[in-house]
Amino acid sequence: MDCKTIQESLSAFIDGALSAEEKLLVEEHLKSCSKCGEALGDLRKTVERVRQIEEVEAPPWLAEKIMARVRSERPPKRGLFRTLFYPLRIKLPIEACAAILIAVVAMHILKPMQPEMRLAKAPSEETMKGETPSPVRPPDDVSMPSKKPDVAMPKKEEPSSPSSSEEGRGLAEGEQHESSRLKESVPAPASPENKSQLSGKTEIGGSHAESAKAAPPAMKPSVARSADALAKGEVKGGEAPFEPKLKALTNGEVFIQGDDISITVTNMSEHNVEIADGQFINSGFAKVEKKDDRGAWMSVELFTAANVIAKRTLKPRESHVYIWRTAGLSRNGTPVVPGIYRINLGDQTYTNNFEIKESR
Amino acid sequence: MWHREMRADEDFEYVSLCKKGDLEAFEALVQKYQKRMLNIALRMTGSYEEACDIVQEVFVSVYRNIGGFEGRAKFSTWIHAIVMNLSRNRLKQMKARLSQEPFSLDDPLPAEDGPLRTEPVSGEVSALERLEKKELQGLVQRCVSALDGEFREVIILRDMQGFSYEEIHDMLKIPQGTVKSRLSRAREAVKDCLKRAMGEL
Repeated sequence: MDCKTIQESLSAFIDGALSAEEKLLVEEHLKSCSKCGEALGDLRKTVERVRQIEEVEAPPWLAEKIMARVRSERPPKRGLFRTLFYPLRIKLPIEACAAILIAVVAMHILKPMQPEMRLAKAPSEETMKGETPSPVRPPDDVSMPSKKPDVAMPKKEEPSSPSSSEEGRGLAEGEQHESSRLKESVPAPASPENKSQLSGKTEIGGSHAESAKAAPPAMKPSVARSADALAKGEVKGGEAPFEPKLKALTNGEVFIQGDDISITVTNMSEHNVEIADGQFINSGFAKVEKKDDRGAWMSVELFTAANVIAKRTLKPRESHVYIWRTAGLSRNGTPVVPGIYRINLGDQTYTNNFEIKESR
Repeated sequence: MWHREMRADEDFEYVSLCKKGDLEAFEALVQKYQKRMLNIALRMTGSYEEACDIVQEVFVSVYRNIGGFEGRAKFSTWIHAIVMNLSRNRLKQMKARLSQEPFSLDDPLPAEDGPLRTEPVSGEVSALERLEKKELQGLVQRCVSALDGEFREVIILRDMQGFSYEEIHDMLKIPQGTVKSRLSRAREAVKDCLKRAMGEL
């Protein structure tokens, strides 16, 4: 092998990146060639010199700035954990709304079957309608509705519907007549078994009727629709209103360099919010931002290290006070530069703007 | 050295947590890699400010795209490849900017050090020796900076940052044989540059 080929292999030789065969060839050549041996020595020194170039340290604000940007990018999303484990106070109304939604949907599904149902199973149809007058009736009147469905359902087709009390009377008056009309197809409903079955069903139906606000029969479809819309609204609303909402206010709007600035953070939402636990504004969870000449907000370098942050739970309307010590803030330990500031607590929570003036 | 690195990714756990939105895990990765990334970007661009900016951009980009990171390469390889790409782009922009200013394009890149550079303080090293050492380092840096981009890249990754040939192959998407030959030429060029400046090594 000639020296040129050998010298081209020296770099890989230094790194131990040659095959065993190539390595052997180079070693053999080096034994007898001082020129190539010198070249190897120079190359080794060169690599050593390059390796010795000192590294620079990352400035302490770099990680802070990165994290601030990343936090501001993050969509304020709730974790699955928190979604599943809402406090009962919030969860129960959601579940109640869901129950109403199910009830309303069930009513819609049952509706197309009504004509047949009405004839074949009059008492059960009553469970929906029977509610209307029942609140004003004495408890022992529970057996009364057993016959009413037979009468009430045909009335449904009438253009205008009487109010519930009128209907109640109308039912009583027309009872004899209507029941005789339907007698052929409907088995007599007033047997003891039917009665008990009915009263049971009435109870079950109670929750349905409540959601429909005990409206007169003819109103039902529209009421049901609006309830449906309401229920849908609940579902939609379930996503929006539970975002963490913090309000952050400073204890003034004008400060002097070196002042301690108190920041009161209040949970304005209806559920618990987790905030950083601590007394002082820490670069790990809050960013101090200063308005630059062009009116853009720029992060100011906080000198505290971003440590692992303990969390504290802020109940609704509960407040926590942080302090930003403006003295010794800058990297050089000089007081904060005069200007307009705000503090960014993450998740799009900012304090009011405030001014820091030069101390005289 | 020249051996195949184990494919198991030491950052796998943190990366998985990041994908679930764990910011603390992300911050741990920032703390782990920012210095190395900063130094690569600094040697690539020659500007501390640009390098800091590049590191920020890379991490924000990593945060946005970590969901799509499939772990075919190691996490560290992936992020350093982004650093390299961004540094190259930034260098182009800087050169374009420079060309509009009355400076020669042939001027070597400023090899400035960051303001936070830490000089090891040792009582045994005299002030003169330290100055000499500093001067020597400045010279080596200038020689590296004077290399063409493709050669500078491999010497930064291999000799300054100690990445393996395989990692460099993954980062730069060039065959390992090319890594080897480029590195050889880069080292030879730096060697000649130093020899010309100092007479001998």
